[in-house]
Amino acid sequence: MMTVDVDVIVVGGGCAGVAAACCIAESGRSVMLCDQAPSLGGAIHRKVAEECGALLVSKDLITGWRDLKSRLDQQSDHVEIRVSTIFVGLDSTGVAVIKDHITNSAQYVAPKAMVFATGAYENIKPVPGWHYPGVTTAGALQVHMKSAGTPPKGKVLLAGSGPLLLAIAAQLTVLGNAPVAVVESARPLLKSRHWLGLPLPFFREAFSYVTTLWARRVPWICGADVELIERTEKGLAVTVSNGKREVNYDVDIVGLHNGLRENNIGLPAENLDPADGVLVVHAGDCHAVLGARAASQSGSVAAGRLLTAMGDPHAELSCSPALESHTQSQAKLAAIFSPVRPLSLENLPDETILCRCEQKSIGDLREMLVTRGVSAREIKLNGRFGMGRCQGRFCGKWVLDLLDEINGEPRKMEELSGRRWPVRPISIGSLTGLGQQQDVRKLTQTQSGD
Amino acid sequence: MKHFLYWRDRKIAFVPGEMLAYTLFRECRGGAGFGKSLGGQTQGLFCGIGACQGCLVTLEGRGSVESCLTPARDGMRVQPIQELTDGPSTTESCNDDS
Ligand SMILES: Cc1cc2nc3c(=O)[nH]c(=O)nc-3n(C[C@H](O)[C@H](O)[C@H](O)COP(=O)(O)OP(=O)(O)OC[C@H]3O[C@@H](n4cnc5c(N)ncnc54)[C@H](O)[C@@H]3O)c2cc1C
Ligand code: FES
Repeated sequence: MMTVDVDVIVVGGGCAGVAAACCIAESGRSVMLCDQAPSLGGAIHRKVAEECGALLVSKDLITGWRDLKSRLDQQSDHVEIRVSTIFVGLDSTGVAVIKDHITNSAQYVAPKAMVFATGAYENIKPVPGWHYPGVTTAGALQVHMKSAGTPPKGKVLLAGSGPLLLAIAAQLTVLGNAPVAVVESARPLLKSRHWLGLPLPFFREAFSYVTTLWARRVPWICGADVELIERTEKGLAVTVSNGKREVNYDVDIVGLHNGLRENNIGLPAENLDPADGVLVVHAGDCHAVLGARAASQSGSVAAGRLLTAMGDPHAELSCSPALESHTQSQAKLAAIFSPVRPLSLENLPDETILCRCEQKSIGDLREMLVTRGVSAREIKLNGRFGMGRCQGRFCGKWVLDLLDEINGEPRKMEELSGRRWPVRPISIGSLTGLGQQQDVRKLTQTQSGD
Repeated sequence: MKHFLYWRDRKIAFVPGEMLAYTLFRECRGGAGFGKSLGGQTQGLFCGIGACQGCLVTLEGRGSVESCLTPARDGMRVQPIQELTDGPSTTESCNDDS
């Protein structure tokens, strides 16, 4: 097996990963910066179609990204950029496996340290019918707008909670396909005390979204939830309820969103002791969801901690801006968007799909929970929850919540997901390379223009 | 100039620069999704960022890939994942612009 040596691999090329890569390269170390997407930028600055760039990303964020990119350009001797490259796992001997998405072949790299800046993914509360095609995360609809420059076709209903839902509703509206309604579980306008404590850019952004929806008369239905999504001949029929009254919508697309979660399932845990093998830090939303304005600072903080562990005496001080205010802002946003009715699965019918990958229902799980003391591992191995292709990203939290709700047994996510690689399913053919094992450095030269 | 790829041997248009999942999402409206997987689940766009594996499709010459991480390209030949796993896998180039 041919491996390549590099000081540090940074996984994830959003603001956090790029900031971390810059700090590390500026200390004179070699960095491999990889991202599974075909371009750097992460959730915010991924390839944005020219027609709509300014409409979809706030100006202060664009300036911040431009500065980061020029810092990265200055370090081109020290940073090797690998796009369309997926981190798969770190084995017990300290060899990282990465997969080239274009050739589908695995490659092996032996780093001294790793930074994970894999961002966040959307938390989606299961509802009956959420597994039908046409039901996506709200964020996926935003990616559609960014990559195609146009909104998805057909009638859209957005539902769930949080500032991102509001942002995406406004973006759809501005691009000409206003949602038929935005169903928000919280009553954010009643939380004036928390609004007043938010920093100005947050306030300004939220205000512009709300006024966009008002100007186009898009119904923003607060304190309500989607109860049921059914398939009809024409598309999807959605039942929305505020606990007293029900309203029905016929649509083509439903975009769901209940906030963001750290995208860290299956990643190696942080390790700052060289005696315990490869050093590992987590950065950005993958470490703690603090939002776009904190991501690059968080990347610098993580790099500082890593460089200190690598023996750089001044690193932590030079790289560490405060993250305190971002933590406070996120707590305020969480209070503003706290759902009126708790996000519990308790009242959902048995036939509701919980695990999308293996098509396992809430009823299947309830049946397993009749036996008290059932372990998270049994739920995984016998019930197949958390076993599917998404590795529990979308059902894991809910499985554990229900376990706690029914049997009063709190469990940690690691018990269900484990911390074992692969982070992503990978074919044995790709792993063994089938004669395609290549020296990573040679390959990059053919790829970096993508 | 319009750009095309092949979904289930049918020619469909895409927007340059977009990910394949979004081309297919526009094409496969109305419940069909991107076909059924071996487990019986209907594949389709869900997370849009490579986290759910719901959008897997088979690309000729490359096997199954997350379509939300794969840029649409001219002449690309795309099939639902089940259909190709039934037959022998092909090794033709994805770029043959027929
Ligand atoms: C769908 C979505 C839409 C969002 N839209 C907005 C918005 O409009 N406005 C806003 O303020 N905030 C938005 N956010 C929140 C925003 O993502 C973050 O606050 C910010 O981008 C975090 O930066 P980051 O660098 O930590 O992560 P990200 O910017 O998410 O970057 C993480 C990168 O890691 C890569 N990655 C993940 N796993 C792997 C792997 N195994 N191998 C290789 N690469 C990997 C991803 O491709 C991605 O490029 C959104 C989040 C999501 C999930
Ligand atoms: S849509 Fe989730 S991985 Fe592609």
